[in-house]
Amino acid sequence: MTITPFTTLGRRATLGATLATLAAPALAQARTEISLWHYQTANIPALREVLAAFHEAHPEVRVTDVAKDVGTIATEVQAAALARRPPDVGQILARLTVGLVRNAGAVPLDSGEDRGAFLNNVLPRFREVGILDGKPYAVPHSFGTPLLYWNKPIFAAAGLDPERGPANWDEVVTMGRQIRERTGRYALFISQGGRDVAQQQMMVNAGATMLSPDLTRATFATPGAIASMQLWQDMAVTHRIHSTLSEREQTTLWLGGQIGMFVGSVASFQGFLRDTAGRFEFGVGHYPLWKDQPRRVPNSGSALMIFAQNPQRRAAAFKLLAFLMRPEVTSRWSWTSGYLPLAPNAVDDAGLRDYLEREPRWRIPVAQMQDTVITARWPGNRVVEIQIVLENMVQALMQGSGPASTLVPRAEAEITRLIAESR
Amino acid sequence: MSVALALPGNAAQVRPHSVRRARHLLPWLLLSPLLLLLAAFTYWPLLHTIYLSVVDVRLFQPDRFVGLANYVGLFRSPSFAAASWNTLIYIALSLPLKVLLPIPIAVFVWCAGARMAALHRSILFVPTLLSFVVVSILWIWMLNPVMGMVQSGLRPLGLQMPALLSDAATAIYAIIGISAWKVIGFNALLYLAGLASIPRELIESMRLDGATDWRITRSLLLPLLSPTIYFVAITSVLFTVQQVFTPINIMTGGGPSNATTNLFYLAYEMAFESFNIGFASATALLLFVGLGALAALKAWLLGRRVHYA
Repeated sequence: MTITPFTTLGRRATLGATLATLAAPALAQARTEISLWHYQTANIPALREVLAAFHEAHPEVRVTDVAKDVGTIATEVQAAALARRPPDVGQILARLTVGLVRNAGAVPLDSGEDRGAFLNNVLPRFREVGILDGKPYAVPHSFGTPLLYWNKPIFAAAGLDPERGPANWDEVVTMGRQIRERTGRYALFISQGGRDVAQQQMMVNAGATMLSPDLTRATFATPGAIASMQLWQDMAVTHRIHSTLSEREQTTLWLGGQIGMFVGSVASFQGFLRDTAGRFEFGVGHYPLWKDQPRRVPNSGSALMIFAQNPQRRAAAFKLLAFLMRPEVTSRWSWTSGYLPLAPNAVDDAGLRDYLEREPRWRIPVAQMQDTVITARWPGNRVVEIQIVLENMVQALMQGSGPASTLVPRAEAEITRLIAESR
Repeated sequence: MSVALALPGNAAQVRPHSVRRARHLLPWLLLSPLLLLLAAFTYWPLLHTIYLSVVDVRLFQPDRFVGLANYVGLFRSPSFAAASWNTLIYIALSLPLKVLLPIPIAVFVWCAGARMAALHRSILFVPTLLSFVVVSILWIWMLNPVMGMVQSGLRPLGLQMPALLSDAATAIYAIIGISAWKVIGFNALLYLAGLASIPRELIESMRLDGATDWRITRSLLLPLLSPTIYFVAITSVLFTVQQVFTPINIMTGGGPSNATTNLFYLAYEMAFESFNIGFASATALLLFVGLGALAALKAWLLGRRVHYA
């Protein structure tokens, strides 16, 4: 019988496949599989790119990413922990991390092989978001900061300089009134996505602190915070420059080029680039200053926590976190996903510098990292109720149900009561 | 005795007893799959919910009995008060919109010619076929006061569409209206099915006796339609509480200022956003008891007036 090259190749392939099949169980045994629960549904290609790089660097670990809803991921992690099947790594909204330490068995991040050395790749101020009772339980990831976006054509139509947005809230009001008068459009929309984020940012920027250091009571009803909330009400009710529509309606209007200014997370930047392409150009500015105070805005976004109880999987989870926190990885994640770069010297990264050359507007959030402080971390099991109290406070202001001097202290007292009654 | 039973001569005496027993067991055997499913997916969850409403569920520790603490905490929550009141509004307004309004629609279609009736039935049923998520998003767009379809129609008239969904005074009525629009067609079809069983000769004979349209409706159609009305009334109230969950979730998130939340949505928030299982279970149980009482009340009030042909 004549052996043709094709047949030889076929035999070799068969032999190779057989050997691979025999070896596969051994390889699989050597490889540790871990799960990563996240809510990056809009950034899955970018996330998988990062994970592919991790797999290349650590072939002994295989990460399965599982996309969840941002509103329920913390609850799902707790339910899974109760069922003794928690994810090995979970992406949790930063303001919910305290509850997850207590209710989902989060692992201290300094208990790994490197004793938490990877945490040094994150700005020290941001690291505080994961620290409870002196131990690090969460490391920032997909962190956001609020920005002011403006619609350049509307600015031009209102006779404003389309290349310059407002620097402080007084200018927001002045420019907003001009837009309203000259174009008839709504001038401003402060996004309340996440229920309690926007009001925190405005009040903290006006000098307030949301919670006492021991996390036992709300402390935000300061004169500055009350004045900032009163301004919000005035912009909606008196000046009528702020849209009072629902969040979804307002987002639709902004993307439709119908609103002059939008205050919202940096996380919206990449989405806006995609969704407004060919429709209108937008400018990006810092979060407006409050009077003569330095800018101080709480972060939005999330942190990563380890819940793995099995030692081998836990070790693999630490490898993943250490990789994800490498400065070059956080920088790349920053411009591919739209979140902040987290490294202390992020701008030293060549990749980020290249991106800043291509997209100068991205310099704004990078610079605003210095003004970003950590969010209030609500304790106990009444978190959603606390968030609803803050959400209702703003909605009552927008409806003109009462002055800020009444509604803000009332909300503070209610939140203190909820914290006291929670477990 | 056992020996005697084993004898062939006694076989005839033995068979009736075993057959009787087999016949007695057969229904249970046939019902057992359903009973198992009921036990697993209805009775056990209900019992477990009762248990969860009186304990504090803790990780890596046994559950702690807390008595009625979850209920007390729930009653003190401002969200609960708003959700309870809104639940009553949803139910109260669902009766005229979802139970009564479809009756004249059904009668109109019933009276239309065969071809027109088929067309109307198809049109009426379209909203029922649409996913409520899709319906909610479509209505958000249509009601948008700046660039919505309704505003486009009002603008030439110099009118301004109010911001229905973001005004605490109107948002709940917008959701009730949309929710009613979604099911009116379905309920009208149920009434049409009821009307189809009414012999038209009865109407003709009443007409020959000089009865007016109103007399025919009051004395013939409504009594004969009463079993369907009874069914629609009971199911509409029970389904309304859960049916409005979708528009609440998609359109308003329970706001503004708790103006559109209800007990069903509150239980969802407590359970799946806050993981406050004790409060969520307490809310669910209160809802269960409340709806059960309401259904019993309606059965008592309406049941006596139902005429089964």
